[in-house]
Amino acid sequence: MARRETPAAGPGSRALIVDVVRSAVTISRGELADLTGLTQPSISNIVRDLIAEGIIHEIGSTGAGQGRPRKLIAINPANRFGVGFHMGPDTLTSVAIDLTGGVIGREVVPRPPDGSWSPERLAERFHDFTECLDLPADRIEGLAVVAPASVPVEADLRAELTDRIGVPVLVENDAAAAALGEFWSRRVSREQAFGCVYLSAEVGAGFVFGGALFRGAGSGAGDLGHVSIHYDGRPCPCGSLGCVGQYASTTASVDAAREDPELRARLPLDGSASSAYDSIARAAVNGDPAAYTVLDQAAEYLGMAATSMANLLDLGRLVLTGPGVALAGSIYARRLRSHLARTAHSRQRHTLTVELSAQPRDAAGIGAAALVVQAAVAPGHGGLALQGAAVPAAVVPAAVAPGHGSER
Amino acid sequence: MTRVGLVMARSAQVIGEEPFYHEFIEGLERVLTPAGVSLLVRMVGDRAAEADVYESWSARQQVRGVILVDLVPDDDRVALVRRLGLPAVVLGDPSTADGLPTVWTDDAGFAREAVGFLAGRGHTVLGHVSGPLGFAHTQLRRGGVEAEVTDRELTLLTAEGDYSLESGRAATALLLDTRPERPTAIVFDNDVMALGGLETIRAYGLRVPEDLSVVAWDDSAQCQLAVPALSAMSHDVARIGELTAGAVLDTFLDASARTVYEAPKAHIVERDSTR
Repeated sequence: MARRETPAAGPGSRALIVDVVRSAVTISRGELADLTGLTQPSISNIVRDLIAEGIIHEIGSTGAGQGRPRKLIAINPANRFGVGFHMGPDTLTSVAIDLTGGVIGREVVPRPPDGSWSPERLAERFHDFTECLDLPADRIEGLAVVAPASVPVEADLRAELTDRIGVPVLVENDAAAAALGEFWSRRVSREQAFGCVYLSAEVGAGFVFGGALFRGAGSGAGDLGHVSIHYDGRPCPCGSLGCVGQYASTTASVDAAREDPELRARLPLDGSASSAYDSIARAAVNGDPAAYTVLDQAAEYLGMAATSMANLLDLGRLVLTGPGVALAGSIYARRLRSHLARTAHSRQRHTLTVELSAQPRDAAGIGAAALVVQAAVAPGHGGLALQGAAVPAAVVPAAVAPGHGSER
Repeated sequence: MTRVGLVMARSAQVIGEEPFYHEFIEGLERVLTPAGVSLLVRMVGDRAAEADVYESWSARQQVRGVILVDLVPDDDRVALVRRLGLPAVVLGDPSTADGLPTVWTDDAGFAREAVGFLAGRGHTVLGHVSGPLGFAHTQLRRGGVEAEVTDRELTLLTAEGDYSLESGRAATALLLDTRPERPTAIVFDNDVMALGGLETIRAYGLRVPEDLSVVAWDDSAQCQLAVPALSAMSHDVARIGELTAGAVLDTFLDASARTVYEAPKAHIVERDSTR
């Protein structure tokens, strides 16, 4: 449902303008006034500042014919960059994006031999990565480090890392970051109630409401994997029963496939869980009925939990992402679509689109970098002030204040 | 840390849309990461910028080797990496590599196979929407399509795209506007252009597959989810990545090897977009 922002030109107006320009791709100042409810003079002032800072640029005119042509503005992609680190069990993925969310560099490195990513090592990684990409230090807006919800990044890492690399550091869970990344790079407009399901060795979700990532009380929102789909189902280490993660995660699917002797004989399932999962996914989309059944069953379980989530939050748009949907995303998307079309409460009132991510394997790393970009060019979403690089005082502590920032 | 570099001179937008590279990179990393080697992927605007990157990586000793993609005939990057002494593996036809190790996919052969598949279903007027014709692999595919069309005495209509969704739409419109004969089947050089083509075909009021059959060159989740689901020439792209990574590790042991590694055979996966 469309919601209007307050028309007064407060500190949130700048973020609003950046967000509307981003989702519109190109737009004129007049259309900006119509869409935001801000006055022409406030828009002119804010746009002038954004152009001076290199965040927005003029890209030509339209409306030849009647009256004077209107100048079009757009996000200036290549002027500033965000960097994201996604910590996996065995690797760290580094991603750099431009202001529109386009990936300009990525690198995956193995976890250090002793297994730990100290602030010192992360700082070294940051410098090495950005130097190999020739990113000028003064154009890097910051770094966000994301990890699965079950292994959160240590709280004191932020301040120490900020000191070492001289740019602000953010910390988030991977599924939430992926949601913000999809929101940013797919140019989703801030009026949409947007959600993301992140399928990997865990099942996660993230939500963007009114342009802001929904964090919950302590960045723990979106733990979809622990939504129960069976009141006396499989036990979960969390203490509950029937958590969907026990049924629909990529590891649950690999376990299910390994229990089928014929599938086990036909497919290479004995290697790492991630390569075994990809073998199942590839076989499933190429017509192997048993492999298809394993994933379709997982998708059905996931559909149950996703319907509960969509009902609870009245979502309007849902993107499936994460390494689990890279090869066989069509199976999950089709299941979720049919499940939601049959059971979602909103089906009589509005559409709920289900889409597949274009870059599912890198979604969390891209999302991390997008957190930085959003905090830098459209600040005011969750107290993550990024201005004043290299000034640790400008960075809020790891225990992020609940709510969505004071000005909203 | 040992590092291998992969530079791509395409827009971040096109790369972002293209599942081929995501799966290729996934396969590379399955072999490189356990070997303690990292893969650095860098997007640049054009070929001149790409050459600059090799120069600076080499001068600063930031990579131990590189992977070259999207080769053109007589590609000057081959001479450049030789001059810089950078071990390199070419993803492409051995004819482009001047002796560098290559991971080779039989583009011409699989293109003939795609034509044969459609001819076998009774199509006589075919369309081919290719990638940029400057690329050697595009020329080989186009050559394969033309040879098979000639052998079978079919009619061929062609258009060129740049692998983007928008170029798939435009190229399809060009083919559908052809008179007197419209194609009854179109082969697209990647999945993204095929998806764009589907949109255009629908906008022309035509039905797939009743009026027009569609085959995508790469398979992907988006192909499978399209309505109708796209028939595709499926390559095991992650396996091609694994082979390439193995080739790179081999160059670390013997930089003078002139090996040709053959990619696994592609095959048509038949879905709902062909008849």
